Amino acid sequence: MAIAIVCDSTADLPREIIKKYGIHVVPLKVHFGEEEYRDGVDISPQEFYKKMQASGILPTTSQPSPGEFAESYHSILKEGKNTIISIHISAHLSGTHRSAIVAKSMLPKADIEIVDSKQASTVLGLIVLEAARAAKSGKTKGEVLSLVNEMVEKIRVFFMVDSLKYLEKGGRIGKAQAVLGSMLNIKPILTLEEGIIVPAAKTRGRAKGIEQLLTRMQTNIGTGEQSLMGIMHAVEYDGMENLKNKVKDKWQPQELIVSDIGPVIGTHVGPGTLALIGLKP
Amino acid sequence: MQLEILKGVHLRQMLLASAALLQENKQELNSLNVFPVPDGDTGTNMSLTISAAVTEVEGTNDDLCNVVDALANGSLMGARGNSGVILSQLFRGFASSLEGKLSVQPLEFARALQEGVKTAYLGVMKPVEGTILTVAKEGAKAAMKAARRGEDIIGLLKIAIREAEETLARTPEMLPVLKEAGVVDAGGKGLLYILQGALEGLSPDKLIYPPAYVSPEIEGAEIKTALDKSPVLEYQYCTEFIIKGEDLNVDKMREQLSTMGDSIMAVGTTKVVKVHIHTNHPGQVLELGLRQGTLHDLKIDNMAEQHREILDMSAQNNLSSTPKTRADSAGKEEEEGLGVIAVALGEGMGNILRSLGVERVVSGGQTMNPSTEDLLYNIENSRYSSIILLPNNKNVILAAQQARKLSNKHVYVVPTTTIPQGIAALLAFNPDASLEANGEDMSAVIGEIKTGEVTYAVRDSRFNGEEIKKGDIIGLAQGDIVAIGREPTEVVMGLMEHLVEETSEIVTIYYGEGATSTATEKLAVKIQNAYPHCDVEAYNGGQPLYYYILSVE
Repeated sequence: MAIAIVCDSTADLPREIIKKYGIHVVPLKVHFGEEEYRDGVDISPQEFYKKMQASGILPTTSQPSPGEFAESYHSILKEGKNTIISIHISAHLSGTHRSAIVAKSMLPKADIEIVDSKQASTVLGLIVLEAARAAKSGKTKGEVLSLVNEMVEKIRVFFMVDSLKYLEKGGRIGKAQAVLGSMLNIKPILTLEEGIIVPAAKTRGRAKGIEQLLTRMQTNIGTGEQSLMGIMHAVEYDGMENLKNKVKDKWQPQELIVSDIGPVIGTHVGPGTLALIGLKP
Repeated sequence: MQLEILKGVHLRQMLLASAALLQENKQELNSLNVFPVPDGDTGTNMSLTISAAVTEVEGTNDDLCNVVDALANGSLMGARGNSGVILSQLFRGFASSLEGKLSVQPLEFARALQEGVKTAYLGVMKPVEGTILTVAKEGAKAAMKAARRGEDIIGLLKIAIREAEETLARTPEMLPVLKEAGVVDAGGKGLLYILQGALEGLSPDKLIYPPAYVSPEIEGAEIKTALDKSPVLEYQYCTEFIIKGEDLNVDKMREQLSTMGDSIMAVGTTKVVKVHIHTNHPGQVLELGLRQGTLHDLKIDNMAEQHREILDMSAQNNLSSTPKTRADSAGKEEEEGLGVIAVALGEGMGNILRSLGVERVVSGGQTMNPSTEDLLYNIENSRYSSIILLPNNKNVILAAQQARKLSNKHVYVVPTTTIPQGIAALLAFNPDASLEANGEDMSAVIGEIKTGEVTYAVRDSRFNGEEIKKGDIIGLAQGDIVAIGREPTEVVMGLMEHLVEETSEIVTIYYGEGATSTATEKLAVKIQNAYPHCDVEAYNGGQPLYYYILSVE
C-alpha cells in the first residue's frame, strides 16, 4: 500500500526536495493581465519578481480548478498508489482547499484525504516534506496523518513584509491594518494564526525586523536545539543570509530549509518579504 | 494695617492681585527657562492655571469655603505644564485645610499654607529641591513661625515673602542646571509673584472692588476657525455648570447625561461636580442638575453663532484648542478596548501619529502644553474605555498624570518626553494586549530611541563654557545642548555626531515650520553620505519653534 503526498504550488519547496521525495505539486496560476503562468512551472520566482517590477502590473492569482486536481489524483492512482494525502494552503487564504475537496468528491471510490494546513508557503512546505518522508519510510496512512496534524499544531511562522500594500490589494489583510504605519516606512511583522494573517509587531528598519523575527520565534519555540527550521524570502538575499547565520547560531537546527517565496505567495506579500519558520517542542 | 481674621472677600482680592501680577511678569518667567529654547513657558502656564482659578472664583460668592473650593477646582482643571500642576496642588492642599470655614485666623492660615506644600510634594513623584516646591516649603515654614509669634496675616505674608525671596536666590546653589544657565527657578519666581500679589491684594486701596480681570491670551482666531469647520452642528448649545450638593454621584450623572447630547464631561467629587455637554435641550440638562443640588457658574453658548465675544469663553472653559467637532458627534457608544491619545504640535506630526493608530491628537494650542482639562476632555470623549496617554513632552507628564487621576476611565500614562519617543512607544502598542501590559511594554522601549532637536536661542546664555547669543541656532541631543551654530542644517550635522552610533540604523528627520522640504532633502543626502550605514528618512512634521526634530534608532 503506497501513499502519495500531494500539495499545491504555494508550498514553495525547493525543486530538489520535490524531486527527491516524489511530491506531487498542483500549480496555482499567476496572471499578468491576459498572460497566465503556472506557478513554479512556467515561471521561476526570479523571473516573476523581475517581471513584476518591470511591468508595473500588479499580478493576480487563481486556484487550481477541481478538474485539474481530479486529473492529478487520477494519474497518481493510475501509477499504482492507492492512498492520497493532499495538503493545502489555509482555506482562509485561498480556494485551493475547496477545489481539492470538490475533486475528491469527483472520485468517490478513491482513498483521498484533504488536509487544511492553516499555513502557506514553505510553512506548508515543511509539513508536506515531513509527510513525504514518513510516507516514503513506509508509515501507515494513520501515522502520516497524525504526524501532519501534529505539525499543523506545532509549526510557527513570523514574516516581515516590506510594505502591507500587496497584502491589502490582495484582500488578505484588513484595510485598517494596512493603513497603520503607511507613513513612517514601518516594517510590519506578521504571523499566521488559525489560518489567518495577523499582525505580531511593528518595527522600523530591516535589521530590527530580523531581530523581531528571532525574538518572536524564541518566545514561541524556546531556545533548545531544533531538528527542522525554515527560512523563506522574496528576492531578499541579504536579509536571508543574515537571518540564516543568526538562526544557526541560536538554534543549531539539524536541518535548515531555505527557499524562495514563489510567484503566487509573492503576489500577495510582495518582494522583500522574509520569514522564519520553527516548530514548538 | 493689621488683619487678624481672613474672610472669603480677602482671599478673592489676594487671588485677583496674584493673577494680575503673574500675568504682568509672564514673559520674564518664560525667559527663565534652563535652556534658552523658545518653548520656555512657565510664566504662560502658571498664568493660565491661576486664571482658571480666578474664573472659577468669580462665579461664586464671598464665603471663604466657596472661594477656596473654587480656587482648588479651577486650578485643578486649568493646570498646564509642570509648574501649573504643582501650583494647583498647592492650592488644593491649602483649600482642603480650610474646607467649610467662613473665616480663618493667622495660625490656621499658616497651617493651610503648609498643607498646600504637603499636597504638592505628594503630587510629584520625585520632588526636586531648588524648584517651586522648595520656595513654597520655606515660605510656608516661615509663615508658620511668624503666626506662632503672633503675627497677623499681613505680617506673616510679608515674612513668607522675604523667606521665599531668599530661598529663590539660593535655587541656583541647589540645582546645578540653574547655576550653569545663570537663572533662578522660574516656577519659584512665579510663586513669589503670587505671594507678592496676595499681599498687594490686601492693601487698603486694593480692597475696593478690583478692575475686571482679563483672562490672558485666548486665541480668538483659533476658536473661530474651530467653529467655522463645523457648519453642521448636531447639538447646538454648549452647556456648562457646576453642581454643588451632598453625595453627588458622578458616574450616575454621566450616564443620565449620555442620552442628552455629546462631548459630555462630568467630573468632580461627591460635593462638587463640573458638567460640560453639547445638547439641544439645555433646560433639561439644568433640570437634571437641579435634582442633585444647587447650580453654579452656569454658561450656555449657542455654538452656531459666528461672532462670539471671545471673552465669553473664559480660560478654564477654553476647550476649543482641541478640535472636537466631527469625532464627537459620531456615535457615543463607548468601545471596549484600548485607545491611544497623544500630545503633539504641528499638523504633520499629528498625521504621523494618527497613521500609527492614535485616536486623538491633543495640541497645546498657543502655549506648548495642554491643560489637565484639555487632556481630560479628550480622555472622556475617547471612544475607548481604556486609554494610553502619550504626553511627548516632559512638561506635560504631570498634567497627564493629573488627568489620569481625575478620569473614571482606565488611563496609563507612558512618560514619553519627545515625539520620537512617542512614535517608538506606538510601535510597541498591541491593541489585543491589556492596558497594563501595553503600558509596560511601551514604557520599556522609549529608551531605545535617541532624540535631537534644533531650535534657536531666545536669550544670551552660556553653556559648557561656550557663549550662546540670542538668535543662535542650538542643537539638543537627548535634552542637552551639544551644538551651537548660525544655520539649522549645520547644527543638525553637529548634532548627528552625538546621536549616531555604529549600531544606529535609521535617522528620521521631522522638519518644522522654519524649514523647507528642499533644504531638508539636501540635509538628508548630507547625512546619508556622512553615515552610509544608516537609512535616512524625512517627514514634514510642521512643528512650530523647532526647525528639526530628529530621531536616531
